[in-house]
Amino acid sequence: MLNKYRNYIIAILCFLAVGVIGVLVIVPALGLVRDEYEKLTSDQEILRKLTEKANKLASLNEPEIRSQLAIANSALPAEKESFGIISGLDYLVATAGGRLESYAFTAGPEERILKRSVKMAPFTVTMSGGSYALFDFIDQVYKSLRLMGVENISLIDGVATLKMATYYQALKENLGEIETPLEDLTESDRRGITEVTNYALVTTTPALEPVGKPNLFGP
Amino acid sequence: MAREINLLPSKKEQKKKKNMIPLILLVVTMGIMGGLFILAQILVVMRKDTGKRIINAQEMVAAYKEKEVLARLVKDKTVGITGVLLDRFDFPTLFKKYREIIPPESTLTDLSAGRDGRISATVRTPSAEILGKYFTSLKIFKGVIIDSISGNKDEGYQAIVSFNAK
Repeated sequence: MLNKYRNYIIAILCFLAVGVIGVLVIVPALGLVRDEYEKLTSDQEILRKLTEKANKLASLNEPEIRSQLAIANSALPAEKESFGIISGLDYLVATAGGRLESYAFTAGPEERILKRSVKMAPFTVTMSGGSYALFDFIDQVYKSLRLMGVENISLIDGVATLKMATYYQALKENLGEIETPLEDLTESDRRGITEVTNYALVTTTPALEPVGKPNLFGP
Repeated sequence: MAREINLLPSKKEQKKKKNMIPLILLVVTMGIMGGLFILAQILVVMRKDTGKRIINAQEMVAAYKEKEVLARLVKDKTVGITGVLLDRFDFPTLFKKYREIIPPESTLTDLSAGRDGRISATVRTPSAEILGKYFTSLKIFKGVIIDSISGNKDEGYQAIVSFNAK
């Protein structure tokens, strides 16, 4: 009897053996191959990003970036630099034909945060000189390379009180992952930097006091 | 005499074929296992190669570290600047327009303006005609409301007007 079904038994046993091998060996092996393939794909993606980034970095024009950064830093520094603003305002009000009566900086929770962690620091300016001095002053404020804005204005009997704001952007603490791609400057970014390039840098160089000595550091 | 040709396989041949099945199964299984092993080895070698190329690329990127810092700073700053330029309410353009419509004989005494675009202005004019001219010119703005008019022929007129600049 066993002899009669010998061939069938062998075939069934073979199928079973293949099934067991399939479950115990082939399926895990397939899993390993799939994992390796996924890792390879991910590595290749990292390599693509890195190569792209390296090529982009190599093609960047460093002097151009440095000049853009110099302008951008003057427009949007990393610190509030309140002192520079105060002396700049004094100059702008005087140029507009007015007189700076007072100013006040309010720090802390009133600061608003804009795009890319740009902080807005509010301050108040009181100036005299009438409506035309006020209009000229605002015009110059908006053309100043150090970005400032006006939130609201109140002019009563020739004395104007302006709620203004200055902007600054703290430096980032790290650059993140090495494969993080470099962002290109968009058309709107280029327009922004070109616009501020035409603005005036308000600098107030303190006048030299005559001391009656040709050499200040001489005996 | 015609000879009979049997086309059916003989019993011996059938038995032989049946004996081949397990062998074929084993060969196929071994083939799959071998194929998988070779594929895995190829993938491992490719990964090692990619790993080396990644290290090279990382070194290249690291060599441009200073340039990268500058480029990222410029990007952040320019996006920030564009954001600020868009956020600021354009008072200069508004006042340029408003200045053009204030009659030269009149005086702007009081003004209040906010970034919501609502403006309130007090203007003194020497005559009613000039005041009328001023009101007509204000049509370039939306939502013009004459809040008050006071005065007389001798002392001149004063009008408080509010309008929308946006």
